[in-house]
Amino acid sequence: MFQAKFRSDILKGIVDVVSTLIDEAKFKIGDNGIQLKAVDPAHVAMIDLTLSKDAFDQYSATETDLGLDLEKLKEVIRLSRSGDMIEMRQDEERGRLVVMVGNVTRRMNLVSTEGMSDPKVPNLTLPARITVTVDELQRGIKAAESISDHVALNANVEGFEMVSDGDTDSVSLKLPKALLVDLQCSESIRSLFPMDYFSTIIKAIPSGTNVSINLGNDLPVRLDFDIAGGKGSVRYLLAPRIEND
Amino acid sequence: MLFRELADTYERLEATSSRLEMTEILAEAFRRFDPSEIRMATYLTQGQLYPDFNPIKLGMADKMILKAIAFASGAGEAFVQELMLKEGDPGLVAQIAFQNRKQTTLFPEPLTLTRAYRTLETIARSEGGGSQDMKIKLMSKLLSDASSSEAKFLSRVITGRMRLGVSSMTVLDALAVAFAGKEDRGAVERAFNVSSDLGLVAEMMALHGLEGVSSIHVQVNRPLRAMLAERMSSPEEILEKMGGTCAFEYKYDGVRLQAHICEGEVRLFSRKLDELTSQFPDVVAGLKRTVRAESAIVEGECVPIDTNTGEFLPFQEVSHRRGRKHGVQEAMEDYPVKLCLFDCILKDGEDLTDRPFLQRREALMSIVEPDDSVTLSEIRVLSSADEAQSFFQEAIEDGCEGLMAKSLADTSVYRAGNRGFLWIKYKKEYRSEMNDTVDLAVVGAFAGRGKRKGFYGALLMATYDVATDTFQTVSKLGSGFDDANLAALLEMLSGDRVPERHHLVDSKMEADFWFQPRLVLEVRGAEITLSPIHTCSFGSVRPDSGLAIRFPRFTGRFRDDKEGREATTSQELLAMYQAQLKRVE
Repeated sequence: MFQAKFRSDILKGIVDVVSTLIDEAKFKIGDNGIQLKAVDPAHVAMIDLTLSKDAFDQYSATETDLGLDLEKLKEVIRLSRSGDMIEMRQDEERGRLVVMVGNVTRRMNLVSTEGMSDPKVPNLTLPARITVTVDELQRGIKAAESISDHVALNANVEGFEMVSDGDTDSVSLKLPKALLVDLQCSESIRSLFPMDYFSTIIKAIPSGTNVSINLGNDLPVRLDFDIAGGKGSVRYLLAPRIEND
Repeated sequence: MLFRELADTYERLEATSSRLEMTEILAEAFRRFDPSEIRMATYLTQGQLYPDFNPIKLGMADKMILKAIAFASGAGEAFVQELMLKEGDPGLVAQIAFQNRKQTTLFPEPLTLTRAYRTLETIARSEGGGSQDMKIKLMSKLLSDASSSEAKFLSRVITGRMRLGVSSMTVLDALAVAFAGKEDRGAVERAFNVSSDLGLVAEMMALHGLEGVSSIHVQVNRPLRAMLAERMSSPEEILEKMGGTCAFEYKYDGVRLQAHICEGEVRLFSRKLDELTSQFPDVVAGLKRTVRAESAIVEGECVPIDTNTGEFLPFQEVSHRRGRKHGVQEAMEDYPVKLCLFDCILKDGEDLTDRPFLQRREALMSIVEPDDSVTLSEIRVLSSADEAQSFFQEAIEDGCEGLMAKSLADTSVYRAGNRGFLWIKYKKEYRSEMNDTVDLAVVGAFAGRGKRKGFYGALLMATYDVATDTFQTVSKLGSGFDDANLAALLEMLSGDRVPERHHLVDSKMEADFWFQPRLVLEVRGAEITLSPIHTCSFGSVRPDSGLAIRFPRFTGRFRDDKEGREATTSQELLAMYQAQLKRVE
């Protein structure tokens, strides 16, 4: 059973992030909130998202899995303006989700969650942690994404650097410690990542959000950030590219 | 088993062009592989997931596999595309790109044969919006766990082109060597020919050896490989080869179909084992009407017909029906077909492949009640070359390619997948293509049926013979008329009607209506052939034949400016025939 009422930007925050990896998602509904784990088909990136029931204006649920088509949720979001309330109710008999936005009622079929696996989050020890507002990263991405198909994330005791090296041009975004929210790094660290994944996720994070970049040498990067005004959180993992020249 | 073992085998196969060495390499591998995985390995070796007759095929576009390679290796699309221009083979591109792999994944997994096969299956089966992206990502995940050599062969197998040069015959050689002896090759091939399923044969050999493959029989809904014929160029030669007597059948010019009938359901397969059921719903319905058997496999030729003249149309007409997904209904009405059955391979569950030809023909006759859409092939048992030759002329006249001779010996079994002298084809050696239109006089007509009820269905057309001052028939014309033409013809010909054949008309054919030769129509044909029925220039080329125009079509032009005797002359048509005579293949 699932029934909830919430502001539309809560839903938008989730869908924007999750739809960077997959088209259909399994939402694990629980007494205290919602959980979602998803891996893209190429197994290059994964998302681990939790949202407390406190993020909702109304929330009542017993444990269940809801398979949802994210494209349909996007259509619902487009019906609403920021601040509008959305109501959702699971119609267990018909296997549908009933969504109400203002006077509009949309009924959508649930997607089978069979075959949607629950990925295990790899256990990683990542020595550096850089916290920065996403707006800084978005500016860097904007400058770099046409330059190359990969991006290097570097950190040392003095700050953080994002470098994109193309065949002819290069772009770097340098953020000294003073411009960062926080920096925990005791050595020189560098990893390389596919640009399209990295830029897509960075662009999907709402402006003003603080993002923690957890980094190692030739290891996956983990981005930690809050959603729904701190009532939820996301961990995003991206596999590195290996430099072997 | 790891996919690497298969890839290593492919590397060795690729390094040789000797069939003997390939056989050795494959046989060694077959002995080493887990018998439960041999089936998958066999299909993959052919660039397939399933036997030929399964409609689900691999065949990812180069563009897509290159994207997966670019992504999974981290080499980038520009680099990969440039490499493709140079190498021309996605396999080599993958091999090079993965020698210097860059992108990693979060959850590396061992690449087993089963995993590779299952992923390829998912890709081949997924359809619809967004599936392209999904296919690329699934392939990327597979490639990301592959070595450079594995990536090469995965990239080839997904496109359906293995480039190993390993034919199904080589696989059969290897199976015999691996699990029986070279001398048992025949039994292994027989199993393949009746099942068309190389993977099945491999698995049965690996699990149960020769005993396993001898249990493989013809089975309904699993097409068998078609029996083929040798070719000879005269009835004398054929009769000698056949021991003096044999059956001659019309060799129809259409699409060869193998029909599988089981509990009222009918499935159709082409000679290449592609399923054609959905493209010929009329043939399916016809077979349901005419075949009385619990289960049966019958074989025939599907020929396009002109419903007005009752004559066969050029083979190309039926090709409008093939490969069609939409508009089957329209195609069915525009290009009606007739199925001419010539063999019965299975009857009520009993495999008849080992029965001699005449017994199979009897079985066919016992289960088929022919009607307009499904008939049995024209057949005659003959021992005279002259009779065979005139039967041949009749076949040509009826729009066929020639004759098929079939041995009446006890050994004349259905040899699936084999070409031999049990069946011999006798086709026209020459054809005379028509490059020009001719003007022909209307001398008779046939009553219309169906849509043309109340009009003339077809016209009997003639050339003018200057030497004898007669009109000699040359074709039955039913194509090229629209509704307005048909109505106009009734009007135009009403004054020309005569109660019986006009004394100037030389015809062996009986028409429903006769006319005095006056009206001239412009006609285009495909070819001038010899004919025992038409009288044009009779005896000039062959003592017992005249000339006929095959596949005639009205151009739409009434030659009001000409009168009967100004039609194309028989002498002109003979000259055209001789000038345009070309050897067939």
